[in-house]
Parts: sequence; structure tokens; C-alpha cells
Amino acid sequence: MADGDMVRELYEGCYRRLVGQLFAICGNLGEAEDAVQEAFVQAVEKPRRFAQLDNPEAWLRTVALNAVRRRYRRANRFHGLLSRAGVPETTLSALSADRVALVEALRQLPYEQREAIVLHHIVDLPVSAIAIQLRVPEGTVKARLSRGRSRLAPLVHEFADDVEEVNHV
Amino acid sequence: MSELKELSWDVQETVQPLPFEALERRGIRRRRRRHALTGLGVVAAVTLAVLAAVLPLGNVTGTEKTAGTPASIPVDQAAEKLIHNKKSGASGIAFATPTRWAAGWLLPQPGYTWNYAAVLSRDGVRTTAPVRKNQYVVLRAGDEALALSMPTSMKGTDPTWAQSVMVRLTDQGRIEKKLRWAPPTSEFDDGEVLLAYGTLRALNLETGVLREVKIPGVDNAYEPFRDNTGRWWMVGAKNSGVGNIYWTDDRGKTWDHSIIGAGRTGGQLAVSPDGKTLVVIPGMKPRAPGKPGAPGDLLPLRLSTDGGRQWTTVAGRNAPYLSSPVAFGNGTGLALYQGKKRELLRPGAGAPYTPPPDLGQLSAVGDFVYGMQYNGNQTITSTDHGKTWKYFEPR
Repeated sequence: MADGDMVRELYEGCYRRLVGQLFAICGNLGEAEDAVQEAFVQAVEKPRRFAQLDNPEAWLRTVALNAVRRRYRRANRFHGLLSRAGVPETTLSALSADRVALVEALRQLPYEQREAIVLHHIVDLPVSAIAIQLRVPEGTVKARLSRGRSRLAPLVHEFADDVEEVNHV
Repeated sequence: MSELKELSWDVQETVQPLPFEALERRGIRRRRRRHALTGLGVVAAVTLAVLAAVLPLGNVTGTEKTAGTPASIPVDQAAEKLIHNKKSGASGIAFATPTRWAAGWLLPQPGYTWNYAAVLSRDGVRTTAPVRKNQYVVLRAGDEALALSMPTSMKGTDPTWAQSVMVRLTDQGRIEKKLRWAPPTSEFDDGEVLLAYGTLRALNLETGVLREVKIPGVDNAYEPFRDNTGRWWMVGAKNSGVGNIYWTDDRGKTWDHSIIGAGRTGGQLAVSPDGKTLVVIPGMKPRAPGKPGAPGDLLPLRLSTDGGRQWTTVAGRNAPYLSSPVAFGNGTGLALYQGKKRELLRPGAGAPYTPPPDLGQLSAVGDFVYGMQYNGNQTITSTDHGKTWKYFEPR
């Protein structure tokens, strides 16, 4: 298969999924799409390197995550300078009220916790893989997951048990 | 399915992907640009390598060598690191022309000591002077600016002579020389440059010989300047403090002098390139024993347009806020007053300007005026006798 065809096939197969995952982190559809598009542009730009990857989708996700992270830091600095109001809200009109509340709750989490939650509970990556991808110790990933879950517990039923565990500690 | 996955799924359902061709075009454009830049980089690297091979340049202290081309000047990583350190501060700058300058930098070290380095720039070509424990003095010698790290004392037995160094950036390239001691002299050669560092010193640019110049009746020297006629001017003072203007036309065989201000200490002098315009700020009156000094004392700002034969007092400002005289060839000058109301006084030219709020001191090369920020590392320059100013960081 030609390198260009491989990227095209991935685009058709993974684009929407990656945007959905990235949206859960940044809470902004435009930003999520920009980041995923950037990842695909880089794949087209360096076709040979891309063709040698074992897991191209993971590579695309990492590139997109890096793009979102860079943008998040820039936006934080910018808005921090202008006011203490934080990053402006963006919602998706097609989402139900419950989903919007969940997006808002995710946005209230520190960025690192949000990233860990999404990679573990949406992308289904194990803790060890997240640790490698984020270049932090596994213990750090577990702590971020635990704190993130406890804060999302009121909106995510499967996290309810975590609250009890945290309260017992 | 968890709520989080459902959220992600809902979003996926709303996404309308761009046609893949649009992204593909962006990627291909980037790839072509990258290849073009890589090609240019390779060409530049090959060119540099060829130039370096054709025009070799060593970096051995004490031996003179030519660079031939700016591209072959080696990078001194230690000096670059010091100069670009965020904690480093500029210690001074000297211009020889508007595009040729040398700037000293210092970096605090543990134990209240400092490391020093310097940057030299000549018509866009840049080099550095190596890191030393003794401060770099930057000065003008004709149309070139150079940096010197001198020994701690002028005694021939001082071990710090071994670390002393002179760095020049000429049209032949970078020249680094170790300074060499020679016995004190009362006369100096035409090729020597005078500099004042407490005592008056003469530096031979070709050999790196640095020697003390003794002038009868003068213990301390300030601001030596050579005008276009070859006359050397300076302010000389006795240890008692009283300062005079001194000049010599015969390389120190004979000195003439005139009084800056009767009974006043030190003083500051500026001479125009043609030696005709002089601007002088006398020093303060000596302190009486047991009494506080003379801040508040009114200092006369004096101007001469005939080489010092006649003087006019053009303004008076209180000490010690009047400083930095500058003289231009058109019979005017500048002086900086940093009292309650900051003023850029313009002897012979009219009403004062308001100087930049952070201008700490002034110097000039011809009509090009420059100074350092008093609270920063920027150099402030003006090409219109102080009307407008520009900032740059001499790293």
C-alpha cells in the first residue's frame, strides 16, 4: 500500500474517533479538529516515518494531544494576563444537558487529570501505557486518575465507588 | 458504556471531516518547504566548511591570526553561556562607529565574585572575549572597539597578568592577545592607545604591551580622548582631588593644562572629534574635614568652541546629578541632569530635551550618542543629538 493511501485509510477510519477523544480533553470541537488535522498533516508531511510506525493511531493521538497541550498553555497564559476568568466556554449545541454538564465538569479538572481520565476511560489505555505516553511515573498517573474520578463521580456513575475509597483514606 | 465514552461517541457523530485532499495538500506543501530549507542549510554548511578550510582560523591566546571572513570565527561556548545568562548584567559599552562596538558582561558567582566576558561587533560580524575573573574594559581605538581584561595591578610580578587578554575585531578578523607588562613610561608611541583605569595606561594594539604612563603632577587620570589632530586630552587629578584638563601633542613629552574649576575635584570632559568643542562639568568642591560633602552644590556646565581658550557657562545644576558631557563638531553638546526634573541639557543648542527615563549616562562617537540603561542591560542610542532614541541589547 502506498504511504498516501495508508494515511487516507487511517483518516477515514480514525479521524472521528480521535476528534471525539480530543474533544473530551479540550472541550472545544474546533480545537479538537484542528489538533487532529495537524496530526494528519504531519503524517502526510513525513510519509516514510509514518509508514514505519507500529501503532499509527497512537502516534496521531500523541501528536494531536501535544497540539492541544500547547494551545492550552498558550491560552492559559493569554487569559491569565487578560483576566482571571480562565479559558472561555465552548459547548456543542448537539449535546444533551447531561453531556454539557459532563464537559463542564471535565473542564474544571486540572489539564493533567483530564488527560489521564480520557486516555484511560475513553481511549482504554492501561496505566503503564499512559505513563509512557505522558512521560510520568505510573504512580502519578494513578493519582491523577483517582483525583479526577472523585471529582467527576457525581456525573459518572462508574466513578461513584472511587469517592468512597477516597473518603476512607 | 460509561458516560465518558458516550460523550466521545456523541461528538464523533457530529463531526464532518474535511476532504482528505485538503490536508494532503497542506502536508505536501510543508514537505516541499522543509526540503527546500534543508537544501539551503546543506549549501550554507558546505560553504562554511569550504571557507573554514580555505581560510583557517586558530584560537591560540597570544598569537595573532586573521579570520578573513566572519563565518570562520569560532564560537566560545563558555563566553556565550555567560553573555546569554539571564542573571548576567551589562557592565559597559564602547562604540567606535555606530556599527562597531564592544560590550562587557558580568555574571555573579558564589562568594561575591563575578565572571566576566565581552561581546564585540563590527559591521554585523560578532565575536566574544573569553571568560575571565577580572573585569573587561571596553574602549575605542580609532575606528575599532576592543575589550581588555587587565591584571589586578600594574606590578610586573602580579600573577593575574597570565589571565589578562585583549580581544580585537578588525577587518582582518578576530585577534586575541595576552597582555604583556612593560615598565612605566612618561612618553608613549603613536600606535599606542591611552586608557584610564585609575592610573593612565598605554596599550600597544599590535604587541599587547600594556604600560603605565606617568605624568608629573598627576596621580589619577580620567577619560583620555584623542581628537582628529592627534592631540590627547584627559582630566588629570592629584590625590588631593583638584582636577585639570591636560593635553599633549607630542605623545607625552610635554603636557599643557588648564583649570576646570578652581579648587574643585576631578571633573568630566568631552571633546569633539575636531578638538574645538569642549564641554566640561567641574567636580564638586572638596569636603571640609568633619563636614558633610557638597551635594546640592551648583555645578556650572561650561562650553568652549575654540579648543578651551574661552569658556562660557551655559547652565548650572546641582551636584551630583549633572553628568555625562558630550561634545559635537558643530559647537554644541549634551549633558545629562538626573535631579528632580530629568533633563538632557544641550549647551550651545537651545532648550533641554527630556531624556529617556532609564538613560543612565552618555557618551558619543562623532554625532552618534549612546548610553546604558541604569536599571537594565539595554544600550540606548541616538543619531540626532538626543532628540530620538533607540534601544538594543548588546549581547
